Amino acid sequence: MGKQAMFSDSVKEDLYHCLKCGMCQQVCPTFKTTRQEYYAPRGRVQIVKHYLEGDLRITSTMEHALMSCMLCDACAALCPSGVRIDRLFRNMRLELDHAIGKPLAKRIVFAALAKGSTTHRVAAAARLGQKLFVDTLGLQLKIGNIPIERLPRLNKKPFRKRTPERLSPEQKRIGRVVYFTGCATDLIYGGVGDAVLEILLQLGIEVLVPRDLVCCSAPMFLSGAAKQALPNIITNMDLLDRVEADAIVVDCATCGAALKKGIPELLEDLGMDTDKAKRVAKKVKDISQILAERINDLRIQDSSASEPLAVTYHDPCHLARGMGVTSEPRKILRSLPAVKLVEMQGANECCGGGGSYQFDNVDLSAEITSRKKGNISATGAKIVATGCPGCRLTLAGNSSQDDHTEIVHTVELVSRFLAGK
Amino acid sequence: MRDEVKKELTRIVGRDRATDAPEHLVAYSYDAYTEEHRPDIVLFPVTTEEVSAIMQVADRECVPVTPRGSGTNLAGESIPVQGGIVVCLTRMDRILAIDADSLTATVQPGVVNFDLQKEVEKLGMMYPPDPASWTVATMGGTVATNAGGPRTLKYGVTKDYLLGLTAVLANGDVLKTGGRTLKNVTGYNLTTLMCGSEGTLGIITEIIVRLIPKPPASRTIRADFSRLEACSDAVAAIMAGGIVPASLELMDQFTVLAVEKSFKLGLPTDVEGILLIQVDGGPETLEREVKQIEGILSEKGARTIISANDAAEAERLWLARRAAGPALMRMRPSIIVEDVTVPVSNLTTMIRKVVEICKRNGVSVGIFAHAGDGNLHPCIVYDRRDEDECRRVRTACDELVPEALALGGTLSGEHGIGLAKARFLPMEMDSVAVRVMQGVKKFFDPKGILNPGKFV
Repeated sequence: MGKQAMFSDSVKEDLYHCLKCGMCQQVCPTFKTTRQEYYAPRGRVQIVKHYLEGDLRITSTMEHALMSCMLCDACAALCPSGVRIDRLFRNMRLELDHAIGKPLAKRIVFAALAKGSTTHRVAAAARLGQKLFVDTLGLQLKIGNIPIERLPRLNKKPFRKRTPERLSPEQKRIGRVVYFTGCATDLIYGGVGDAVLEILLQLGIEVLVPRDLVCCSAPMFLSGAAKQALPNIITNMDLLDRVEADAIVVDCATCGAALKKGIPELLEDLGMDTDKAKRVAKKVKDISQILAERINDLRIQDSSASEPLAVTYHDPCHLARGMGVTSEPRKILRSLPAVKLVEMQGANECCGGGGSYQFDNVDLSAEITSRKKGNISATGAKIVATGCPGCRLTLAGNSSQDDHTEIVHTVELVSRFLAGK
Repeated sequence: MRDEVKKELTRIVGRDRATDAPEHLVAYSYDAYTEEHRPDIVLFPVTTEEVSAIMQVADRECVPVTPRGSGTNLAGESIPVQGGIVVCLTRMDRILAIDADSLTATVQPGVVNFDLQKEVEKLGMMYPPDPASWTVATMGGTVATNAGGPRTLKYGVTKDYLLGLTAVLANGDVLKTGGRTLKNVTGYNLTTLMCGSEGTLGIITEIIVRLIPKPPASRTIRADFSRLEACSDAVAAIMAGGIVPASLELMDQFTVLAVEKSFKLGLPTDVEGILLIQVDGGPETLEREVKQIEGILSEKGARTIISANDAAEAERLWLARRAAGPALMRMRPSIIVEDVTVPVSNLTTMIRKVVEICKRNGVSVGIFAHAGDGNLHPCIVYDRRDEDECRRVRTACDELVPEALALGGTLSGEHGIGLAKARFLPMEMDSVAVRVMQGVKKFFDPKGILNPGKFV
C-alpha cells in the first residue's frame, strides 16, 4: 500500500468542504489549551490536505499534530460544513502508522490486547507487578501524569473468567442481551460488570457473556494500527452477528462508539465488507439506554437521608458524541431519590484522558484534565458519575491526596441504591 | 528569510513560542478566505515589549509582518501574501480589567470576544459588537476589522465602543491612543484610525472598550412573506416607525430551502422571505414595540407572524437564522460570503440585482441579510476546483459591487477589504481619498512591512 491508500474518495472529498471558518477552535480541548492553530481541528485538517496534495511529508511534527488530537469528536459535532473531521483524522492515523509504525511500548500493549488469553496472562503479570512495586516496595512511580498508586487495582480474576456464559433472571424473562464486557470491566472495574448483571437480571433480562469475545480493538485502530485491530474485529463481529439476542449491551463508551460507529466506518474506509458490522452496530446499546427506558421497573430505595447526595455527571466523548447518549444517564440519576444531580460547567468537554493520550501527551493532557477537575469541584459534588473507564481512570488518577471525590460508573451508583441493600 | 534573522526572532519569544516547521506554516497560511500563502516563521508574543522587539528586527531587515488573531476573518486580511513573519496574538489572552463603575474593560488582543461577553454579563453589562464568529474571534481581530454583527443595528459597531489602544508601530515604537473616558477630543482620533486598519498601520496589543448595561429583557418575532418586496417593505416600515430593533434579519428563499434540506426545522419553503426580529429593553417598552411591529408586519402582508412567548421559544426561532450559514456551507464545497451594503430603502432592489446577476452568470446564491442596516450577505456556493465555475463566480462578484455603489451603498459593510475586495476599493474611494490613505500608511509604515500586499 502506497501513500494515500488509506483515504477513501468520500473521506478525501471532505477535505475540500472545510471552508477554514475556524469555528472548531471553540470546542477543541488542545486548541483551547495551546491557542496554536496546529493544535486546532482546522489546522490539522489543512495539514492533512496539504499532505495528500503532496506538499507536506510525514515528519515527527506531523505525527505530533495528528496524535495530539484527543479524538473527542467535539469539532465534528460542531462543524458548520459537516466535515467528518473525526473520520479524517482516524484515516490519517492509519496512514501514519503505515508509514512509521508504533513505538515498542504500544506494540507490546496491542499484542497483549489482540488475543483474549494473552490479555489475561499479561494482566495477571501486571497485577503481580502492582503488588510487588507498590504494596511491597512502596515505589513512587508515575505513568504519564498518574502516580502509580493512583492507578486502579486490577481485578483478582478477570470478570469474564469468573462469570457464567449465560445468566437467567429469577422472574419472567422479558428479553435477552449479549453483554459485551470491554477490557476495562474484564480486567480493572469488575464492580461495573457486577452492577450491570444485577440490574439486567432484576429487570428480567437474560444475559449472555460469551468468553470468546475479545478487545473491541478501539485502542488499536484509533491510534492507526489497523492490522492489529482487524483480527479482533473479525472475531467479535462473527460472534456478535451469530448470537441471537435483542441487543448488544456495553458499559464502556469507547467499546460502544467503536461497535456502533468506528468499526463500520473503518471497514468501509479499508474497502472491506461492512454487512456484519452494520447489523451488529444496529443492536449496540449503552447500558444507560436500556436502563433509562425501564428505570421505573427497578426496586430502588426511598430516600432515607435528609440531605440528598450531590452527584455530578461527566459526559464521556465516546458516549455523548460517539453514541449520542446524553439524556439517559441524567434521567437515571434524577430518578434516584437519594441523589441530587448537580450539572457542572462544560459537562460534555473532554476530560483530558483517552486511550494512551495522557501517557503520550503529558502536559497537554494535564492542563485539559485540570480544567475539568476545576469544573467538577465548583459543583461541590463529592461523586462524579460517568460511563467510560478511560474518563474514570483519568479523573481518579489526577486527584490530589486530599481530593476524595469518588468517580463511579452510573450503574454502580444505581446498584448502590437498589432496595434491600 | 535568512536563518540568522529567524534565530534572532526566536530568541525574542523563546523556542516554544516560535516555529518554522512546514506543517505549522501551513496552519498559518490561511484565514476564512479562499487564498493561501505560507509565512516564513510564526511567533506568539505575550507582551507589548516582545511585539516591539519583533518589529525592530523586522524593520531593520525589511521583512513583512502580518498580525493575526484567530484567523476567522473573511476577506484575507490575515493571509501573509508576501511571506515573512506572522505575529499571532492568541496567547495574549488576558482580560486585564473590567471596571463596573466606569463601564469599561481593558483587554489583551487575544481575548475571545465571547469570553469577554460572558465575563461582563456576570456583572450585568454587555459589549455589543457580536460578529457571527464571536465564539472564536479575538478582540484584536475585531478591532483591526471594525467588526459588526446582528445587534449592530441598534448598538453600533466596534469603533463605537473603542476608547483607547496600545499599538506597536512598524519601527517598534509603542503608540498609546485614547483612554478610559467616554469623551476625549484630544488631538486626532488615532484610536478610530487604527480601528479597521486591518494590520496595515500597527499591531494592537491592548484595547480599552466601553460597556453598556445589559438590556433587562428581549422579545423575538418571526414573520414569513410570500413576496420579497413585501418583506423588505416591512423592514423599511419598521425602521421608519421609530423603533430600532436590536436585530432585524432576513433570509431569502434559497437560504430557507437550504436550511430545510440540511436541518429540517419546519420552515415554510414556499415563501420568498423570512424576517427575524429581536427587540430589547424594559418590559413596558417591549410590550408596546412588539405590538407595533406585529401591526406593521401584518399591514405589509406577512403570511404568518410568530411571537415567542418565552426564551426557549425565542431560541427555537433564532435557530433558523443560525442554521442559515451552516446550511449554505453544506450545499457545495466552497463559499464566498459577500458583504455589500446598501441604504435600507434599496434593500429589495439590491436583493433582486444579486439574484439576477448570479442567475445570469450561472452561479448559485443564497442571501441572508442584517436587513435593518441594509447589510447583505449573498453567499455564493461553488466548487473551487472547478475553474470555469470560479471564473463565473468572480464575474458575478465583479458585477455585484458596482450595483451596490450605484444604489448608494458600500462594497463592504463589515467583513473588510483585505485581499477579497482590494480591486474594488478605487471604485468607492476617489483619488483624493486614496492619496490621503496612502499618505497615512506611508507615515506609519514607510518601508511597507506591515501586512503588505493588501488594499493600501
